Amino acid sequence: MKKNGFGLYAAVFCILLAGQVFAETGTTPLEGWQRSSQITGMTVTNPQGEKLGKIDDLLIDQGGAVKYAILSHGGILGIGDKLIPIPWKALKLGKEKTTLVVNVNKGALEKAPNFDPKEWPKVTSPDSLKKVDMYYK
Amino acid sequence: MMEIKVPMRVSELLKTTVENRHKEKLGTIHDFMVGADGRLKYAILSHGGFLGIGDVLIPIPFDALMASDEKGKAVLDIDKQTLEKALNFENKTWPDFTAAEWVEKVDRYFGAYAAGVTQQQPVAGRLERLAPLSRDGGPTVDNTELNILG
Repeated sequence: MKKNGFGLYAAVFCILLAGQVFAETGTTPLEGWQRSSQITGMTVTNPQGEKLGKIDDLLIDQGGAVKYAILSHGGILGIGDKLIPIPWKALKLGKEKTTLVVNVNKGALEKAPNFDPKEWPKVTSPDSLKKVDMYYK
Repeated sequence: MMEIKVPMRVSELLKTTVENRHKEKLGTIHDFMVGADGRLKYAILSHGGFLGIGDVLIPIPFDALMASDEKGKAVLDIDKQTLEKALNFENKTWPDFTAAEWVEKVDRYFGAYAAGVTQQQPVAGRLERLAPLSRDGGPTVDNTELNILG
């Protein structure tokens, strides 16, 4: 019985520890102050280190909180590229702190909600953003 | 806030013209400072100068900016003289925002101003000038580069 009790404590401790680690990774990829002009242009990779594109723009809510990063993917010199909104919370800062990392493989990214740069206003509609949220859940 | 359309594109907010209530142009938004919590905390206003030469950058608390009736414009309720005494820096000498005192000074200045407006009292005097950020132990920028207006 005593042994079981210890096991329980250990389990609780592990959960607390996991919670702590989660809290430290947080919900934002930034570590300190960053100029918005330096976030745009950042390279985005997946955890395997494959380059997925660059941050083209940021979407913020009324309070100024960044909600989505717009990834520019594919194309050459900005021609033929697709724009892919990624929830801000799905991004992490890369190890070298100059890139952002999203946990999605290239194939899945091709199927992610995306749009042509000409379609801009549509992107910010609640419906299309809901689809984005669902995709990265 | 600046606009009611949600969400807003940061690229569209850049180049926003900022005016005061008397329709005097105060400058344009040059950049934003994003905090570690992922919020736009400061709009960096480019003020004065001509074609980007000789202008100074002034951090404005994002919350202090209000929507304008005109598209591509925002309102900051401050007179030019007061704005010109706010902390500012040149594009080549960006301050270290992680220094707590920096952010504090900016907040206090614009906060004190807002309080002064409601109390119909004159605003407190000019703040200390900003110490330039020395990069990688390189030479500290001398005071002539610290462009304090007014």
